[in-house]
Amino acid sequence: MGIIQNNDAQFMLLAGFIIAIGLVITTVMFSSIIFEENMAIGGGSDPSKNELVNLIHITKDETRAAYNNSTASGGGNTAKFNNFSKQMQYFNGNLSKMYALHGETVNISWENWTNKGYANLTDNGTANGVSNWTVIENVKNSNITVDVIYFNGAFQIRLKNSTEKLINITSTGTFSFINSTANDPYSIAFVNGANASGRFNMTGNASGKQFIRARDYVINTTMTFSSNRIKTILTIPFSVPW
Amino acid sequence: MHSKNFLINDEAVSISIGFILMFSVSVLVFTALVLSFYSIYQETEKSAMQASFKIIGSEISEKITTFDMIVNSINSSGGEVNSLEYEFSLPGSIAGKSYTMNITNSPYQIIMESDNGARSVSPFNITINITERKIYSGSENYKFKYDTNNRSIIIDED
Repeated sequence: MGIIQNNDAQFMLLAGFIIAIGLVITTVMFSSIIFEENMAIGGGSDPSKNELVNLIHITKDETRAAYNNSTASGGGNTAKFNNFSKQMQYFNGNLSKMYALHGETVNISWENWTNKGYANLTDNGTANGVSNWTVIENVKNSNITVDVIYFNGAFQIRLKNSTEKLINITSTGTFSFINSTANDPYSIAFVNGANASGRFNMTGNASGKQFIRARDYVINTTMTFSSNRIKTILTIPFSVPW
Repeated sequence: MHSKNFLINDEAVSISIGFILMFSVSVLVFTALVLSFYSIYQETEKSAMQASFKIIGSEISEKITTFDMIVNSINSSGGEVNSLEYEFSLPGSIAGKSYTMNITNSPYQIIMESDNGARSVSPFNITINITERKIYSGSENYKFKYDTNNRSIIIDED
């Protein structure tokens, strides 16, 4: 009763104070609401770039595995390619199903390598690849076999540690070299690899482990990938068997 | 006597004049309030556009960089990109206003602008070329396409 009857205007002051606070709160809220409603950011799931890189890597691994399996089973080139194709078809079918579950389509096709010449002795096996490249480092012992089918100028194999040894290949044919060192590991590099094509095989011990580096062919594999955002057709050369 | 009367007079103004005064003051206060809200709205709209421009610019530059990365990783492995398309969407309008997006190639920048002065520049860095393009808001779906002949990125409407 006292408050209502009181005419000293303190009730009015209180009301004015509450209105002022309310006004400040409303202004801040209003401001942030306008800001939010004006924002134009939409969501959306973009495929990660790693997804495409992963696809390339698993296809490379499978192509190499299929090649190794097909050559291990023996037989002529046609039989080998048929075995290779069977494994790749199986892989392609499974891969398509797996990607379809994520709303993406994948298709892989590969070339017939039976009538294809051996690869260039460059880093990626193509004529435009890097000509001077290191095949492996920190080697204790190695058995190198190079089968040169096409030769067009100087091609060398360089064995380098504290000293340097250059093996000159001056014609087509099969060449084998065995090298070992007790405590001065060396690196094996190809020099002017674009000048020759053929296949190579290296086995031995590097960094305390057995290693194999070998290449017969470079198989061009075409991948078609399609997701909600990205559509692409890529042709990538994979060197086989390693 | 008169001055004494003036000092003790507590009637101020008549009721009608008092009403007019109070009414005028109320109208003035209300107008000031509306105007201040309007300016707040304008300022908020601009800053919201600015923030949206920054986010959209970063998103688009990230997509261009991804595109460049894919092309480069394929090329470095001796492969060939036969075709590559990367779709992206832009809002038809931001805060109810139209805008422009200018993708330049020297230097590599995405400049987003609007009439109300909101502007944002998002730089990016790629190794392949990109064809310059100015996009006006309205159409919402676009795509980056790889031009295999010129080894460059072109922007096309979807």
